[in-house]
Amino acid sequence: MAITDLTPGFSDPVRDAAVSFRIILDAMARPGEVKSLPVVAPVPAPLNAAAVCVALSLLDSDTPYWLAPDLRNDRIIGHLSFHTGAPFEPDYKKAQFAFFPVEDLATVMQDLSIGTDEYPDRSATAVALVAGFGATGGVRLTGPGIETANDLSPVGVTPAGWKALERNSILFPLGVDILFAGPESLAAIPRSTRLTELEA
Amino acid sequence: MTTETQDEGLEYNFAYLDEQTKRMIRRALLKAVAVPGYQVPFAGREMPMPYGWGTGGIQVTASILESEDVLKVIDQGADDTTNAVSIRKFFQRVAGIATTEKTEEATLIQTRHRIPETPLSEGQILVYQVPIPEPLRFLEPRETETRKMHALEEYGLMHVKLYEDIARHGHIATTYAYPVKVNDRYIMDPSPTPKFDNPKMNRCAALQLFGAGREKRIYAVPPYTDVVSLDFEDHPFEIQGWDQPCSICGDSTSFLDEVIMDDQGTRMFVCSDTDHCASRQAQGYQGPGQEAAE
Ligand SMILES: [Zn+2]
Repeated sequence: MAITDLTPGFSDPVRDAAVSFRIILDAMARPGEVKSLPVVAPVPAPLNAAAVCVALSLLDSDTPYWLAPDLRNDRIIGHLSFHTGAPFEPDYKKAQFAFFPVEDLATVMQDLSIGTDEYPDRSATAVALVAGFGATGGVRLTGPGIETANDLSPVGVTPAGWKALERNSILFPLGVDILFAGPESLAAIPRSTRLTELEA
Repeated sequence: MTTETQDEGLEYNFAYLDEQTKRMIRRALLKAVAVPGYQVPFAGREMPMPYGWGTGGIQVTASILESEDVLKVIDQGADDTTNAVSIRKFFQRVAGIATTEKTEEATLIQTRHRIPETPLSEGQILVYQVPIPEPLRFLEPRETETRKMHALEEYGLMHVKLYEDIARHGHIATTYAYPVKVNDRYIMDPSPTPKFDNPKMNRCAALQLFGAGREKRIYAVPPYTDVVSLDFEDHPFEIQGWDQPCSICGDSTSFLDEVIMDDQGTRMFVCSDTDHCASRQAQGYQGPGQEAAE
């Protein structure tokens, strides 16, 4: 593949990474709050804007990442390798970041790294791609970062997906932290958040 | 983007740190937020100042700073100490950001030893400079052991230590770095703030981040998270109080420092939070020291 085939990354890498990180930090610190992306970098399909923001601001040569088969092609692996230097990891159990369609949540969550008792930080971050966030249904969230309760309804989470997230929160302080990446915005459910399913 | 310094013509990356170091610290910060009170190890780098100057806090600030931020830096409650002024100037120089002394104007506050008296809001982040991040270190010097104690939630030793205090002094004598339990899970060192400030950490609307440069640890308390000071049923946690109000602004609810006013050794008590005291004075409040001087 020629360099000219590559899609550009952030237009102002230092600034764009800083403002993107602040949104991701804010989302993780306030679970269930949907945050608009402050910058949009060119998106190689079928990734989406928030997934690209997360990748360009957090990945580098120290962070093996995994892409679900549906998101995987030479162009995307080339794009992420060129802009971040991060190695593609074919085995998602070994990945520090896993990118996948939200429909795969239940399957992927089973085997992502949850850290160890002494190093709960040695866990994976899940980046679940969603079409957007709905107004009803979803889950009610409580816990650190939430004043009373936040409702979140990422489009496309299956009942088995919610069950996987409930199991994940029981593992605390071990567990996976989830970023829901949309075309214009993102939201997070870290392992510290407790979930109750809402009627759709 | 690089910021060119006017004096030396040297070029730095925005906020001094290189992008790879920032990314590593950013990833550690996300883990710290996800596991409140747990100390995340990070591979810190050397900063152009000694450890005692708050290099851990500076690395955290440098990693989260964006050009629109308004930064406040305090040391012992004051904006004008050498340490606070140096850190503020450092970030003005390497990041070109705006600074302020007013708590409510700041988006980012880096602190050593105090939490501002003005309640913090949702749009703010408080970054603490931490010298010794491990609350169990003075009970158990081995890192492998303290890590196990945190993993197993084995905090009996800490309660024994506090109880020995009561046996010896009749009360818990610890007044600074008074240990807290975060989110009902991890025992955390709140950094060497006075225990007076511990209640401000509990369910605070702002995100609180802690950086320890020498030991290379980052930890966090997300907004609205329970932070409980350790105590006993028969010896409940209490904060310090003073018999008199601030001599300058008359506040009887703020943390006071004893200061020597002249070479006769005249002493008085004044607010440690200089911005809080100044804004009260601007609102017309007066303390007993001011009335006597008139
Ligand atoms: Zn005062």
